[in-house]
Amino acid sequence: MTDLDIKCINLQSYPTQEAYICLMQTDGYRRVIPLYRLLSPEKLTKLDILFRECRIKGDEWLSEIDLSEEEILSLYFDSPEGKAETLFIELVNAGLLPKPENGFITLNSDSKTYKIEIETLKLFIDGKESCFQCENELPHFDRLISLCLTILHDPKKLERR
Amino acid sequence: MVILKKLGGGGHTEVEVPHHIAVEEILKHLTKGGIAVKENGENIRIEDVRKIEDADKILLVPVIKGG
Repeated sequence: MTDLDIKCINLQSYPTQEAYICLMQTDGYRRVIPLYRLLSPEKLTKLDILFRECRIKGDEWLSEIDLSEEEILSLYFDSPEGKAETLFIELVNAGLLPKPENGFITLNSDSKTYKIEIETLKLFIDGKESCFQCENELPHFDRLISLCLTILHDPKKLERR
Repeated sequence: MVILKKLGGGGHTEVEVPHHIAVEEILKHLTKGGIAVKENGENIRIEDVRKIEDADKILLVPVIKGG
């Protein structure tokens, strides 16, 4: 039995068959593995056909794409997304970032409480949803790390402009 | 030599550079509005950049702004 749960999502500018992700429960949050970035389009199209025609059950999809759970994780952690998550885990283990709990990271800085939903990167300041901008397109966990370190070291940057 | 680790799209780039180059790079990064953090979590302010030491490992964090 695999710990990976496969899901098809709608993404702007992606055809349906290319937008499969894997969800995996990990320490305090849910890991989202963008399969559509890791597998060849042929494998994704094959999966899409099998799922649409309900010809696949349980974790049979893994053998259809000829990969094990470990191989998917290895592909993920070699990608920019996975490398960013590895750095995030290192920073949490080093005590520089707080441990995720129930899918959230909570930081206290400048007498305010900042809560970030890890999967969506929604930011709540003292319970109120707020927003932030990044200079360029960053992998998900690079964005999370940057947001956390900005909150800890220069929270004024997050004030509404 | 100082190790600079830059967060960004194409995976993380980690470069080992001489002290004076590291100072220049960090100053450039801070001036653009980014943050620089030492491996022990210490934040580096513009006025303290020259105090970094050889063998320091520094994380260059991209600019984040309030929306």
